[in-house]
Amino acid sequence: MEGKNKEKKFIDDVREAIDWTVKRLERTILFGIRFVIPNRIVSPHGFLGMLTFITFIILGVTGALLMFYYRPTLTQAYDTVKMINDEVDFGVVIRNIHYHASNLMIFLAIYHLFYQLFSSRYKIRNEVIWVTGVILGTLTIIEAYIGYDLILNERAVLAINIGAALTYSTPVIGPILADVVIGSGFNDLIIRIYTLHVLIFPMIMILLFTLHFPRNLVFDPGMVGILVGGLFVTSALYPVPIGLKYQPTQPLHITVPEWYINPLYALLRTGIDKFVAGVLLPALFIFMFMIVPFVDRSKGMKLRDRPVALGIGISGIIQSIVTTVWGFYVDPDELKGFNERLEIDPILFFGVLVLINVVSFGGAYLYSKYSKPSRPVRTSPAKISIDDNLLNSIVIAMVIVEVFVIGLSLIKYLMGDLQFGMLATGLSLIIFGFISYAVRLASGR
Amino acid sequence: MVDRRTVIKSLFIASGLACLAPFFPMGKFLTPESQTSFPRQKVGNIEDIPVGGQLFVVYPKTGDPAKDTDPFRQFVIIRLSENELYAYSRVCIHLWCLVDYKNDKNLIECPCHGSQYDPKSGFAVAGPASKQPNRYLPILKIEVDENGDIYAIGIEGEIGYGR
Repeated sequence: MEGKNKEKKFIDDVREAIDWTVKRLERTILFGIRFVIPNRIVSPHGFLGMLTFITFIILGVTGALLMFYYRPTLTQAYDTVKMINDEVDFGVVIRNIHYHASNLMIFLAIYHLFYQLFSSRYKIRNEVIWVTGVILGTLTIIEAYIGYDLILNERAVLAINIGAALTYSTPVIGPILADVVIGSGFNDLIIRIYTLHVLIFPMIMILLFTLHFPRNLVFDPGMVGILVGGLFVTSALYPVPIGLKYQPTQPLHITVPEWYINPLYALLRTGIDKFVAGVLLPALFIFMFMIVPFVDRSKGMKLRDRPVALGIGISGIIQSIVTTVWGFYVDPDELKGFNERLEIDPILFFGVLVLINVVSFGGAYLYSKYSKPSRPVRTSPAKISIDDNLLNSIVIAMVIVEVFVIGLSLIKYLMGDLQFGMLATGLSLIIFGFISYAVRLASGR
Repeated sequence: MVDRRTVIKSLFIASGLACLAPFFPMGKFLTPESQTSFPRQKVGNIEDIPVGGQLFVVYPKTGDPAKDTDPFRQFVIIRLSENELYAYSRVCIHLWCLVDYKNDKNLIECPCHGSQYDPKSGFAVAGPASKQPNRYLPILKIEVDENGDIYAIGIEGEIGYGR
């Protein structure tokens, strides 16, 4: 009896201390933002932006760790990446997470954009949030592009080569920018793009976050567990190759760039003017998204009320996919020359793009004109009916499995099997995510 | 009629903006003199190059091996006849491999994708480099004094223009 009282008192003390701290924190900027941890199961579509931001944080942490060993010089860049990958303990883990997180962040940002576009979230005074979001997405892609240049393998140098050509071909500011970024050669270039990658771009992005984040943010630990776990599993199953070192006297192989700049690569391979293909058209594409809230002034929130936004969304998705896939295609005939294998017929290419736009906007227009307004259907949230006792048993079983997988992961790390260890780490995080959902299901009753 | 308040306010804003002017020349920090101007440096002697031969030189040479191995600092001097010297950047305008002079073909050739350049002008005549909008190899400006010493004095053209 006395023991129970004592315990209660201790808990009260803790509560008081937390309360005291929260009251003080309310005076800080932190509480300008409201974090909501959902107590029900909610669709991740509502907080894709938060997931993108969490991936940004993961990139920041892993990137900072990589900075401990990476050296941005012509002679050392590739070798230090190789050393991180092959020699530094857990270096391969950090590098793989950093790489896969960069892909994930871009994917989530694009997914986030299209979800917000189709659900008309850019309305209701969200124009600034929308525009800064489009800018942030663009910066994310440029940041990732600069990042993979830092390795100075063949793929990096091919990408730097294209970047340099685009910079030089831009009128007026291009040559100045080239002087600033490239300097007098590779040694200047590598340290300058390094500074851009690790400091300047992230700083600009963090500043823009203040103009992009809404006041209410959803933080879902379960989904975060699944996300980070997924990163570990992907890193274990698809370790990123380090590539061949760039050596100026050895032939470079045909290497396609990373998927997110493949549309640009496809555009350049049509052989039309570089500035138009590599700068103007992509800028136009981004601009098309930026102006959505200003061209779509319709009052309705439904897709059929918004043919312009619907057209931009559909043509945006199809064009992105088609140009990305096209950028990957290289004529397999090795007897042909380097340029002949890469050439894309401009008439065919731009013909297809025009066709996609005609079909998308036409389809959107026809849809909005001829589709009948559907009667609002009252839907009740889907109920998963699981017996309480069963649910409790499931949670306990999952915790046991999680502990087992964590143990397996630790043992594998001790044995030096990093790949298997990463897989187990990822699985344990995913199981944690599911436990979190199961607990929520139980407490939601 | 502009009232006094507006005038004073405008003056205040204008004076604030004027303070930004001194910061513009500081942009030079990003493209320093050492990067845009070229020293006069001895790179070799004409006797080092046989007629029909070539000499690889580093310019501007710094003594720092990390900088001196930069492809953008690699140049080739070709001696076509007794007093006929041509000097170019070795960075191929296609994909930045290092080119060299092939005596038997009388052409500058890239080992990577077979681009070929005319040794007298640096103009790309064949291969992927000939498909570029800018087809000239950047030129290394050289002078030869009475002792036959070759001095590099500057670079003409943009190295690493990209494809």
